[in-house]
Formats: sequence, structure tokens, C-alpha cells
Amino acid sequence: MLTLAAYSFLYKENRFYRAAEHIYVGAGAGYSLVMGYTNVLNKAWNPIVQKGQIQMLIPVILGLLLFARFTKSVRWLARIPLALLVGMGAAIALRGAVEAQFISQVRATMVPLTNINNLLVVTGVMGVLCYFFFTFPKNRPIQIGASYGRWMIMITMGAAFGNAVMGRISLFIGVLQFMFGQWIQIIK
Amino acid sequence: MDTILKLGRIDRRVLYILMVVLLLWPLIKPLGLPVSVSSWTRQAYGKIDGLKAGDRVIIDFNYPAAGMADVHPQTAAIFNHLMKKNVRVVAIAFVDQGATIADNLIRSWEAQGKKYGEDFIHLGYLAGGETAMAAFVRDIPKAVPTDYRGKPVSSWPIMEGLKTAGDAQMLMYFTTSLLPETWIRQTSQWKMPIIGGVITVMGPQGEPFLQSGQLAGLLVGMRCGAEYEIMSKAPGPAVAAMDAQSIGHLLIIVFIIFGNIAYFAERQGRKRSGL
Repeated sequence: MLTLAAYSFLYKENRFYRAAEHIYVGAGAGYSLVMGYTNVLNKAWNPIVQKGQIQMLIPVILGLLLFARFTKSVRWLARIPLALLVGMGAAIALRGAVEAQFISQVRATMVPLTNINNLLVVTGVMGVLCYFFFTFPKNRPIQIGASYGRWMIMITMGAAFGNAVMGRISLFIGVLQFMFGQWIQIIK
Repeated sequence: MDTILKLGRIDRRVLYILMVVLLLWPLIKPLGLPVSVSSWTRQAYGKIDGLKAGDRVIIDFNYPAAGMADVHPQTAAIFNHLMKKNVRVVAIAFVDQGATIADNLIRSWEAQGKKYGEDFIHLGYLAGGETAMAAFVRDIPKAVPTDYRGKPVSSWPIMEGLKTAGDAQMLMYFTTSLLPETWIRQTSQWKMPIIGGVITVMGPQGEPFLQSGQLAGLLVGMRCGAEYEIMSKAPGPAVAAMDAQSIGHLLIIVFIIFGNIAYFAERQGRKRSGL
């Protein structure tokens, strides 16, 4: 029923659609609340109370400080845990990023130009890089490279869009299989 | 000319009904269109088939219920393959809804005789995104002291000798939003084989990592789920959906062609009338 109510939006906006939307948001929030509560219980409360791991109070206090942003006078306190989160997140990501996202990818671009796939990879990378030179006037060869790079970007965007369409159709087929397979049972 | 312009202005609700009818028909009466298996799926299948009985695989259930239709067929097909080969699975979720999805899949295999704690374990949901992943890969029992069912993880036989991610033979992730470089970054020190199963939209983002060898395999969407079901000789809902998917794509191509014809016809009409 909720699926039908959500799809009724395709006809026009109506109260059934709005009800389904609110139920979905509410159920999602409720589920996340329960998972969050269970997490805090298992990862913070039980270690502190049952195992005496007092050091777990530090992340608990930092987490509570995040709520300080809702009170004007102590809003600045929320910056402390936020800074820690952002700093730690960036450091953890950067640590492996140089090898995983830069060196390995550059190495993978150094391929022999013996087949059309490798040729497209190398020329595509060089063309797209040429396209993104904005800080100096482009001479004729770089302009040609940039033009080729723009075409490669557009072809890639087209492929990405095609993938997006394919994904949405797959999701809709899943809904049809549920409604007409499990519910109405006309799909065997 | 008028007909073309009318087609360009057709009410979108007519197009929606057309789509529902044309997608539903092949689901009710399958057309039997052949499904070829791509090199990507063959590569992933080959890597997984190379695992031996008793090997341990970490699976990250990183997708919510909204993405299940596209990603779950691959997950179920691969899980089926792993169970048949008696490969042990350590399930974890870094997305809250993924924990429930993993639990449902594991319970369905328990009902078929597999033993929790020996053949698989569910470590539950670990909040924190990449920070949680970093803690997880470095010390699994410390990051997840209790499993999804509330028992200490060290009490289960499957966790014996599994301290870091490098102690497992393979890592797999199934996701609708996680970028492939996240797991690659966090496991780079062990150079362990990683297989990604992603929603169709994210396919192009994973290709560079497959091409560079940083991903041992990449499955994209329901299509690769269907291919994996065929490779495993266990056709399921994904294979059943392929006829409908082909018709859906054909329909979109027809819409695009007609839309463009109508657009250029309208432009010609405006030029002729001097607007």
C-alpha cells in the first residue's frame, strides 16, 4: 500500500503520497535511533558501567559536546569534537590516499600502446588533463588536446547517465517483482 | 510534422503507464532473451572460485533497503557460491540498515543447516564511516567486542586467528554509496584481494580501480547479479528480471530518439515561422 501511495505522486501530488513520505522518513529515523541507542549502549555505556573502562567517558563527553550547537551561549564548544572528527577523518583518508588514488592510478596509466583500449586510456587521460589547464593561455596542441578531452568527458558523462538509467530501471523492476510477485502473485 | 510535435508534447503520465506495462509484461511472460556473461563477472567469479574450503572472507554489507533491488541479487548469488564452497564469512555493516540485511541472509542459511559461529558470523553495525573501517581492519576483536547477537566475538570458532583484515583471504563490499577507494586505502598494507559489488550508477567510478588491479573484481548492478547467477548455475530473481531490463532500455532509447526528433522539428518550425 505504501508503494502504491508513493507512486501515486506520478499522477499528481496528493495526501497519500505525503503520508507515505512521512511514514518512510519516520520509520528510517526510528530505525537509526534504535541502532544508535544500541551502539551507545554496547560501545560506551556497558564498557564504562560494567567493565570500568573510564577512558570511554572521553568520546562520550565529546559526543555530547556536539549538541552544544543548539544553545547559543555555548555553541563554540561544538567546534572541539567537530574539529577532531574532521581532522581524524582527513588524516585516516590521506594516509592511504597517496598510494591508492595517486601512485597506483598513475602506474595503471603507463600501459603499452598496443591495442585500442590502452590507446584510449592514455590519450583520454592526457586530453582530460589538458582540458583542465585554466591558469595559462593554451597553445594550439593543448587546445586540440583539450577539445579531445572535452569529448572524452562528454562520452563518460553519457556512459554514467546510461548507467544511472539502468540502475533506476533495475530498482523499478525490483518494486514490480515485489508487488506482482510476492503480493499479487501473478509473476511466477 | 504535427504528429511529431504532438509526440514531443505527450503527457508524461502516458509514458509512465507505457513503462509499467512494457516492464511488467516480460516479468509475467518471459521472453527468454539470452544473457551473456561479461568479463567483469567472469573475473570476479574466477577469484571467488579460487577460494578453498575453510578460507575466511570479510563482507561489508554497505547498502540500505532502498538499493536492495539492484545490489542484493549479487550479494545473495555470491553468498550462495561461498556457502557451497564452505568458505567462512565474517559479515559487518558500516551502514545501519545493512546489518538487518546481513542478518536476514545469514538466518536464511542457518535454516539450511549452516552453523552460526562456524560457517559465518555477523559482527553487526559499526558506526563511524571510514574511521570505523580503519579501526576495524587494524584490530577486529577490539573494534567489535560483541557480535550482532550480543555474544563476545572471541567466543566463536570462526574468529580464531582473525585479528586484522589481513588475516582474511578476501574482502568484499556491497554498496550503493561507498567509494571504492575507501576500502582500498584502508587495506593497502595487506594488498588483499578486494571484490566490489556496487549499484549500477557507481559502475564507472569503480572501473579505474579494476583496470589498475586494485580491485580484484567488480560487479555492477542487477545485470552482474544475473550474470553471477548464471555462472553459479543458480538462476534467480536477477535472471528473471533481465528481459524486463532489456525492454526498459529499448523504451528509453525510443523516448530519447522521439524526444530529439520532436525537439529539432519544433526548432525547424520556429525558424520557418520567423520566431
